[in-house]
Amino acid sequence: MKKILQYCIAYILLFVVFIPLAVAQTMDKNVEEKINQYKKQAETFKEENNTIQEADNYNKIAYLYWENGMLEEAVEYFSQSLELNKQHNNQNGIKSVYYNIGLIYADMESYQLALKNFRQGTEYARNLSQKAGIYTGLINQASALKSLSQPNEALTILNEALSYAQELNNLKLVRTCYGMMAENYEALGDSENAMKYFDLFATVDKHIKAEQIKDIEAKSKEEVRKAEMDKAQSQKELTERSSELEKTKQSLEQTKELTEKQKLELELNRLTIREKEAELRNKRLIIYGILLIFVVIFFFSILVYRQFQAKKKANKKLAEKNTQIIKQKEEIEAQRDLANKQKMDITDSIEYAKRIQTALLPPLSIIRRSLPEHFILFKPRDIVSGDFYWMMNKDDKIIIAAADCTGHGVPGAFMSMLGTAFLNEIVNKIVENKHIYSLQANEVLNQLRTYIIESLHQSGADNESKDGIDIALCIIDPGKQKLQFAGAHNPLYLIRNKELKVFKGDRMPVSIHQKADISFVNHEIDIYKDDVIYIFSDGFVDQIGGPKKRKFMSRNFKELLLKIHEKPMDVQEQILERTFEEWKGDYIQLDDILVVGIKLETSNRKLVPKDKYDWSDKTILIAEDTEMNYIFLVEALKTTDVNILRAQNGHEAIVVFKENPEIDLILMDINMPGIDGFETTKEIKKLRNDVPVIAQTALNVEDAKEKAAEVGCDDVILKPIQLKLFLSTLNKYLKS
Amino acid sequence: MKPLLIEAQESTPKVYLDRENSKFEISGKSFPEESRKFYAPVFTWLEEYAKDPNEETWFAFKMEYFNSSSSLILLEIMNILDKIKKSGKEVKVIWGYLDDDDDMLEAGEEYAELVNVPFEYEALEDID
Repeated sequence: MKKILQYCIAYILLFVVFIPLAVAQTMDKNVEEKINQYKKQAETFKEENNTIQEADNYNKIAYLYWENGMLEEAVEYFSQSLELNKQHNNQNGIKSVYYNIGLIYADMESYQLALKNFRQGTEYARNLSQKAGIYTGLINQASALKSLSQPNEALTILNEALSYAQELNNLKLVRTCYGMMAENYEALGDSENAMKYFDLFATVDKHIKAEQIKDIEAKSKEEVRKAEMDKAQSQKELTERSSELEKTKQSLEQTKELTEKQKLELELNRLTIREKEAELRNKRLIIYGILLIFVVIFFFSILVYRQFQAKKKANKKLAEKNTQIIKQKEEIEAQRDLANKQKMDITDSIEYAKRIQTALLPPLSIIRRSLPEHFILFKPRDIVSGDFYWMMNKDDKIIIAAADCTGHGVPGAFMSMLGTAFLNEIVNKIVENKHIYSLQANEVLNQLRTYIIESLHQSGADNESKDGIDIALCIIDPGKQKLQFAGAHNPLYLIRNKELKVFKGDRMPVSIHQKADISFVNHEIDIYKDDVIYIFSDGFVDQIGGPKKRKFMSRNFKELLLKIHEKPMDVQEQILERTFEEWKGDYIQLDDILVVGIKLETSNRKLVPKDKYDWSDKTILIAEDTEMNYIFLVEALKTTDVNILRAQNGHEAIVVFKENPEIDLILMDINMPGIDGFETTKEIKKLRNDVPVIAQTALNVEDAKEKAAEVGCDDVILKPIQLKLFLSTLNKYLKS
Repeated sequence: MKPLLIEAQESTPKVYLDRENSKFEISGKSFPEESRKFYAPVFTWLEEYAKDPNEETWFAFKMEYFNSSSSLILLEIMNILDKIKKSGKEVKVIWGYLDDDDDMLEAGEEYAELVNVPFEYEALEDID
């Protein structure tokens, strides 16, 4: 083992040490041979008196010596070449040889000698006006001077070299100059200039490298392109070849198929012949078989015919009966269809009636505006309802009623229509003829009773309609914190401080009645914040259900309300509805259900400004894209009863303005998508110059004012608006 | 005079009118689809009875639920009782109600205000 290792080491040593030596020797030998060859040639040229070629050979010899580190020999031969060139006055040659000798001396670190030779070479280059040659000479001189620690002299020379480099427009040469200048300034201790020239060097260097990179990139791109083209070409060739191959394969298969087909045909022919033989045999058998069957059928037919004759008589009678039955059935079906159709027609028309009834109910959005916290649980028993709710806003008073007409379904619905129409007329008339402040809840019911008795021609006689309305009617005055209530049969529940107070309705309906000449009672109640009131029909409390199939009853209803009255109104509604459904269970709904709950807000008052404007005959166009801002404006204008049109952008504003010549004023938002408020105003003023346009903006009001005046806006208001100022500003323009 | 007996149905009350046994009673729930039609035999019987009533008529209403059209009918029945009373006979209404049904008690009180017949109120545990 050890021995093997020793051999290995020896072997490795042999390679490491001896082989390079051997190479050096062979190189020397080669160079020597070459040099001898050149020397012989030089002899030959010398004999032939061919000085140029002789000098050339000396140069070659010198280069070989130089390359192999034999510098003195190199100088010797360059010197011989120099002599010959001088004899021949080959100035270019002289210059080159001086430079070479200088370079060799520099290699030998004999900088004085190097400098001398460079200078002489440069003189020849100057004579030849070779800019590149002069540059080379100067750079070499500077390099030598630097090595001789003469930086000032070097810099003078480099400045000249730089000008040549610039003349030559050669960036690489410029770069060299800057680099060397930086070095020399550094040697001088002039760091400022050293930095300056170094920066210049770096800049030029960067530029050159970038160029080089670009070059390389371009080249590689070109190569990639070529490679891709080659690839495409070979792919094309491949495709062509494979398609040819495919063709050959196809034709081969076709040939194969053909022979296969021929074989099959032959086989088929053989089979056909055999089949025909068998057929002939079968035919005979079939003929005998058919004959036998005919005989059997013949006997059977006789049998059947005899039976048939017997049955024919019976069947005739049966058929007669059948047609009779079918006829009757058809008649019954026709009647049933007619009944179904009539039922459907009736249902359809009731469904349509429901639409009318629903349309007459006050829209929830309007109720919400006056009573932000309320709920209305409304569950008609049939499609149309005998219960109805009604609301009207007069000044800052809210009149609201929950009513229950005799009966339910269609008759109830008829009454509810009358009730709604009468209530509207009554309240409007009272307010017109007297004043809103004299509006009394009981008076509304008194008049409603008169209307109903008169319109239904109720005299109190037997056998005539005694239909009427049970109703609870409230007039809420949030400003004065007062509530009026009058009821026909139906009460008002008020919950304050977790206590439920019942204001009973009078024990009489709104209709002909023994007490029809007695006025309803007017209850006046002070209200406080967070008071909750409920008005309702008897449908909820009278619903039968629960485990014992009993009525729900007022007692439970009160308890339930007490339990839930502090919850949000919509939650209360949900609880009431769920409780009702659970109580009802599988039982039928007996009557229409109506419960109205209202949380009173005494603070409503604050929103109503003292100075009141009536602009009910005016129309304002609000151009505003932001929903919130629009709602806020509508809210602010609510008390004025002004008619409001809306546009959501500039274009729409112009269109709406064109279509509605009655517009008295425009509130123009400045920031809108598309064309802005300023542009829109310009367009609108072109259409009608006299319509006041009030810009509203959240921008700096001074800037906006200037621009607004420019485009023709009559005024500017700042967002968020101040209610009083807003209304008085608008009033200024609406008055005139 | 033949007694009138109508058994209670889902939406109609039990009616028992028997002159011989001095039994006059309407009880249960009343919300017939056509109330006039349902109560027609009752009126026929009562009109007949009013012509020659007993000396004493104690008419019992034991209602658990009635709808608004039925309520008008009940009033008409009471008006007949009123007539009988006016003819000099003794008439009384026994108004039975489930003991926790304040609404029914109030309904009775309201009827009492409308007729001259005296009312006697009777809280009931159950209505059969």
